[in-house]
Amino acid sequence: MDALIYFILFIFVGYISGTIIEKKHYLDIEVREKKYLNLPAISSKNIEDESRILSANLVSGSVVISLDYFKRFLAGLRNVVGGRIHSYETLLDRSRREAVLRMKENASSMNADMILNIRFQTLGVGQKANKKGNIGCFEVVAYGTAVKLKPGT
Amino acid sequence: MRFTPRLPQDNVNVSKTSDLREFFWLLGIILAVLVLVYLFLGFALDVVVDRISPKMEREIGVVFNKMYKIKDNEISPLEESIQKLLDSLVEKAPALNMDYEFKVRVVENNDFNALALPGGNIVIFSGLIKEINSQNELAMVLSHELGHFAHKDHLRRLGRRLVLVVISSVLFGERSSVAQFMERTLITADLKSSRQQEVVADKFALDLLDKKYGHVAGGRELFQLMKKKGNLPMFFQYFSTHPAPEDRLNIMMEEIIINGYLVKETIPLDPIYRDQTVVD
Amino acid sequence: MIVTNIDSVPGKRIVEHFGIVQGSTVRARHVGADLAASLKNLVGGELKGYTKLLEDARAESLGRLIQQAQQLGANAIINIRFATAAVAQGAAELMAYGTAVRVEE
Repeated sequence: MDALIYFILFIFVGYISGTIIEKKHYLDIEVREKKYLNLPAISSKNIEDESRILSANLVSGSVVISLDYFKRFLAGLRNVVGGRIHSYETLLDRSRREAVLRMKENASSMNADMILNIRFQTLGVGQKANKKGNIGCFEVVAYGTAVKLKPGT
Repeated sequence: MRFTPRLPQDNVNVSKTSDLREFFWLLGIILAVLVLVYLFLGFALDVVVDRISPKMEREIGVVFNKMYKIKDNEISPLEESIQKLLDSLVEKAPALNMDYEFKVRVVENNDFNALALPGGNIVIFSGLIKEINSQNELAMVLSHELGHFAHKDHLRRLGRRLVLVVISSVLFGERSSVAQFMERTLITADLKSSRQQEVVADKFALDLLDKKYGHVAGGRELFQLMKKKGNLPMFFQYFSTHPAPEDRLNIMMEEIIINGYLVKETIPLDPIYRDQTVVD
Repeated sequence: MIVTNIDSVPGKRIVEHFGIVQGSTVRARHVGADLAASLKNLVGGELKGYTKLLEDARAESLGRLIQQAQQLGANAIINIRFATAAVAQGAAELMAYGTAVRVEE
């Protein structure tokens, strides 16, 4: 019986805090995306004329992010019925954009002009840590090659 | 090649649905289906329970005996004394004698409780023995558990638990928060029938008490004790498998009046009950 | 929308690029498919339910990728990559990413 009360409490706290954190994170992401908008980041290798490239360096950005109790429970329910798991979508979207931003921050600290050949990797971590076997925790990595270009087109 | 910095107008990677609405929809639908399946299986179970032979039940009981560390040949003087009382009660209920060989065991536990295990073992927690004041109260406890045996409630409840665990592990995996929640909810859905079982067992116990002593003193005292011990707030009572002690007391008082039972002096407990030596 | 997984669009010239675009989705199959899959594990063979799950998810993530590129004003996406990750039991995340570009004849 106590478990039911704890459950309602967890769901409630999870929902409120999860929503607030997500909203904040999105606002933060949007501001930073605007800031780094002028740093091109692409998934292609040979888009630039190679003679213009002065130097190249590997850059990466990663983030480990977790779900709140409410969203995890919702995903569990969704798993029974099937279909799109909305609560995971926002999580992955946020973490991927965050990873790209961190990669861009990394590149801009090197005064790079462009990031080439970006690759993503998603990994569920902490599976052993939570005994319930539900992965609610991901690492998203974005990595690419930051290049400096000769000044002037 | 030119680079044009642009941001997408909106986020295409996230569907525009409300989490909260999805939550209530899914929860409602899944719960409704589960409750239906559970109740259906519960009724199917009632049919099966009536066909379980005493021999089979004893085999099921072995598992529980292990769980409560019950050994067949180690009997304390306290258990011997309770056993005598139990045997005298069983004598007055001939129908029960056919199916079971009843044995009583005292288990170290501070809860005010007693259990009916498959196979005919009755477990009494030491916490209960510490609290009761008369032989009649103990007889009421034993008769109540005998009432469960008479209606095979112990098997019914066990079966329902089994059904519950199977359903929830098939749907939600073995140990997830969803599974735990669903189990709680289904138990709640089943409360009405288990409360009815308690009331029926109480009535059976009163009848047996009357046959043994010629009056029903001890019953009221037991429930008053229970009321004192289990002071649950209203909210918890709503979800309890047993009716509130106060309600049970009221139902019992009505029953006493309807059947014209007498209430006389209680018989005090043997000193052995206060000398708590319990086998492990 | 032209989509390729090489660095160019053959026969066309890339004139403008808009950076990286991505599309993703997370999907789960219903309990019936999960059960069938666990039974199939006994005998081996194709898990049709999961094949369908991943196909649908891949189509949707590509669709979202294209939608995002359109919002940027691109008419082609080059160097597309797919990535899959299992995020929970019976659920899969599918993502597609590429470079949004504008091409001319």
